[in-house]
Amino acid sequence: MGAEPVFIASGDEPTGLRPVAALDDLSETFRIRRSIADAALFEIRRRYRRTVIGPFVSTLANAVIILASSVVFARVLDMPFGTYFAYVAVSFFAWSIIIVPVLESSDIAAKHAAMLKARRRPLSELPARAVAVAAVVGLHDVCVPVIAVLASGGGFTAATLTLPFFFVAVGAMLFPVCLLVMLAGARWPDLTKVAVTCGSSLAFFVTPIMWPVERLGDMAAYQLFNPAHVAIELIRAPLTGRLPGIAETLAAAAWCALFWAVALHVLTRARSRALMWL
Amino acid sequence: MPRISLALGLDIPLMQSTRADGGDDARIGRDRSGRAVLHALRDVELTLEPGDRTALLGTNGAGKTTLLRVMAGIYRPSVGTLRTEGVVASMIDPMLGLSPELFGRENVRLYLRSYGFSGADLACAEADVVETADIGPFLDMPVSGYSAGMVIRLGFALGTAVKPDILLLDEWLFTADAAFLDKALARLDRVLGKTGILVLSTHQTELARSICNREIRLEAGRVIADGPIESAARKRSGTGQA
Repeated sequence: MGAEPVFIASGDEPTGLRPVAALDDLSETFRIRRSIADAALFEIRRRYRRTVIGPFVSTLANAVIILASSVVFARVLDMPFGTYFAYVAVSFFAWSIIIVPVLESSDIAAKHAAMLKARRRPLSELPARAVAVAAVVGLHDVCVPVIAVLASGGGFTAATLTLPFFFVAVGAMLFPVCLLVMLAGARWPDLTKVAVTCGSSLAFFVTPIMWPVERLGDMAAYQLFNPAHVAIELIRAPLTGRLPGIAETLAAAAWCALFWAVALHVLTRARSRALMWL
Repeated sequence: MPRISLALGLDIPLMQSTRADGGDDARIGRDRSGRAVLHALRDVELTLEPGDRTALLGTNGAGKTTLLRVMAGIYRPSVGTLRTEGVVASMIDPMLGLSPELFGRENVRLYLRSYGFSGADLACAEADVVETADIGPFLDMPVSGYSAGMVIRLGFALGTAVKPDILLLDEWLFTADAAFLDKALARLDRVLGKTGILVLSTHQTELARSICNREIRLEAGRVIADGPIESAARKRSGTGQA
């Protein structure tokens, strides 16, 4: 029972062994996945502890935002209300899932500094928790896009059944980003917070969320270089009854590989010092 | 059998590089990469054997808590190596890394799960924590609302519920009320048995003598004395040291 009986920490690790130490951190996070899942559930419960209608108010608020913006933007973009309503409901849902954990990760290390310094635990646990919380909230809020798609006359197909797979794929893409943001937030707390907040606002406007990608015409292909777009498309496509395009899927795989490579590199370099920044 | 062996140094990076050039403090300098650092631990070589009850003594800033954190695997050495054999419970802070916003019972579940408890073992360990902490209905309240004494009770009950072979303890436990302290010391003996290792960071020499059989004295991040606690005390008095 308990942690592994032998623990070795060395400051003289040959450079070639350091990635193994970073992988140890990730495997430790995987080992305590049940604890992370519980922590996510407890965190949701904590948020709505003082209210009975809280979870419904949150979902209702999303629905109101989507409905109100559909009334305006369907007219601005000259699109049928029903089509636009379903599109924006699904897009907004996917955007919330990817942006909330990234924003939370920017100060998650500082918020949990005492916890991290109290006993040995993997650094990657906190971003994993942020992604797990987003997944639980996403499962809770999925009723909004589902109702919107059904209300607009759209239907679900066999492709919709791939949603869980693509949901996990987005999580795999999101986790290294959250890890990087957390490490940056530990090193440069104020700067990271500002950068992530500004970056998320910029991403919201340049990503096809409130407007369809086709509106870009010849420039639509450039959106493959926008990781937010490809992540959103992985969720949006199955929810609207189709499979993501091959180009989007390949772009997502490439972004995912890049994020993991950078995250592993940074974790390797920062792992021993990150706690001392806090 | 539990064991801790280490031969290491630890540098803590300083955020303001100007500090690296200031003052007479030999503990402040630069690391191999030229970064400004505090040499928090230097040339620390120790082996803790089964049955060792070790008191870490030293003034504020000597490096006691930092050494506990290194032994716990929280801080990784800048040079050298740490090796621990056995389940380690670090009770450096009475909160043990608990989330203040969550209920006591939720924290118990998370803590035990992180040590790999599940199923019947988890239920059994949870019941043990509830009985030892003895804080009644407060378990179903957020930890942020606990008194200092209740945090100590819960922290101690949790830290010892994982059946550690090596217990790293700061002296916060000894601020508990007398009744709980008696119960806690009895539990400590039971949990560690004859072979477990205890490392206690404290300023109280008398307390250290009553619990420990070995003393390690730190000064400015270096070990300046290491030996059986009584003889170490005699040696100090013989040389006129406090």
